[in-house]
Amino acid sequence: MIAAILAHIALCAVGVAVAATIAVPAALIFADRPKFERSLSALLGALYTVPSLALLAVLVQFIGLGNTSVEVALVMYALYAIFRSTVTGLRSIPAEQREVAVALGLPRLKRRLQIDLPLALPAILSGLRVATLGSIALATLGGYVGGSGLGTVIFTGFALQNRTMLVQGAIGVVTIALLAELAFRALERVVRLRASG
Amino acid sequence: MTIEAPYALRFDRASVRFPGSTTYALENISLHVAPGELLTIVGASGSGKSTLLRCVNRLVELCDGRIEIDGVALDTFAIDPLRRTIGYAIQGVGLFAHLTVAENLALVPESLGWPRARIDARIDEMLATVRLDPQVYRRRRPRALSGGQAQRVGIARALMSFPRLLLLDEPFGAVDPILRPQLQAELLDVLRDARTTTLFVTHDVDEALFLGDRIAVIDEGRLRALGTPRALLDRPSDDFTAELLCGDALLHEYRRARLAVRERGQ
Repeated sequence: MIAAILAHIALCAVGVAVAATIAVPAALIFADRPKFERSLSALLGALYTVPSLALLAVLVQFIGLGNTSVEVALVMYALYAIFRSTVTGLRSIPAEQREVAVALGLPRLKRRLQIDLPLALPAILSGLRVATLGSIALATLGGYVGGSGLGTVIFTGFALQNRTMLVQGAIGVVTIALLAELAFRALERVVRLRASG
Repeated sequence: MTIEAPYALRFDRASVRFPGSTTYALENISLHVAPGELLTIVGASGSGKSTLLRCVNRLVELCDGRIEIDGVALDTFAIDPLRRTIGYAIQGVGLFAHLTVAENLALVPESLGWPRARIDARIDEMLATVRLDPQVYRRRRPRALSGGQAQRVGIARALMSFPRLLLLDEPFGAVDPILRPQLQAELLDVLRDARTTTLFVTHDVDEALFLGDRIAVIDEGRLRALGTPRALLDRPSDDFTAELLCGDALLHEYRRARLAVRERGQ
């Protein structure tokens, strides 16, 4: 059971981390280019609306059974929430602060990393929270396609009509989700306080 | 360390019209600011005085005319390197809330590639110049500063990298009126040491008269008058300027007396 919980957490952590590695820089690049940003948002939004089981079924055709298919699905779903929240965070930086950063002549990269990113961090964290909670739920479905994690426990419980396994798996998923929610909320509070000085 | 000479600035029929607007925000502004001069720009809210300032660091683009720095057209400069030679402070200061005072001050010198030791030494020097104890204020965040202290830090940040031009947009606009005269006097001292060209925008006539080597009066995007405080107070060039700068007889007398005190001080 512990191994399944750890595997579940690892699956989600890797998925969200990879998605953030793609989505945050993409948002930093495209937030000021509305045309590209709208196109990318539409694409990621479309991916987000594909039913998860259908997406897994398609991915298995190309990648095969196992964790890789699950990871790819997790990344595809997490991208949208993280990209959108980062764009929103960047756009909600007060105009006066953005303008001062420009007027000081700070190089674009320094402006993005030292000014924009920290000021947008509360919004980014809220996107990461949404993506993480979604991943924790979605990773459970990975049990269908040979993924590790608590999904395996739940689906085995189903197959064997073993209520203990079913309940253990379900409680495990709920507990991870609750802890993730609490951890992100606490982190958001700290970051919000820091961003406001 | 060599400090580069302050810029000379020339506006030549500079005009600005914002997209979608049928009227000019600035219309045919022509004026010259000598190196090291402090020009105060005074006018009512919406007169275009901040727009005039923001044209210089190209936060606003001209639709007609041109601005020259040391005789070279503004739009031929690479913009970010140029902005790093221009100090900028605004009303409410624009300090970054997530950075400490020292981190705020270090932003431009870091961008210029100064070594860490030089940045640290300059931070201490500038904080002392604006009468803030470096040991106490270096690590403070803007939220832990009073209005006057934040304003001093804003001025210090604008002067950190020996700017060749200083743009101040109502820097004391949000400061308690009781504190204003003190900050104005301190600013004059700091600017005397910095010897840089300065454009200072204000809607406060007394501030403009007290600080400026010359005053530009702006109204509805047009330059109504340009001259020394003494010349404009003694011989206002038009009714608008007379009404704005001189007010009633009592106020006129008070301002001339105050100016005389300033002139004797110089």
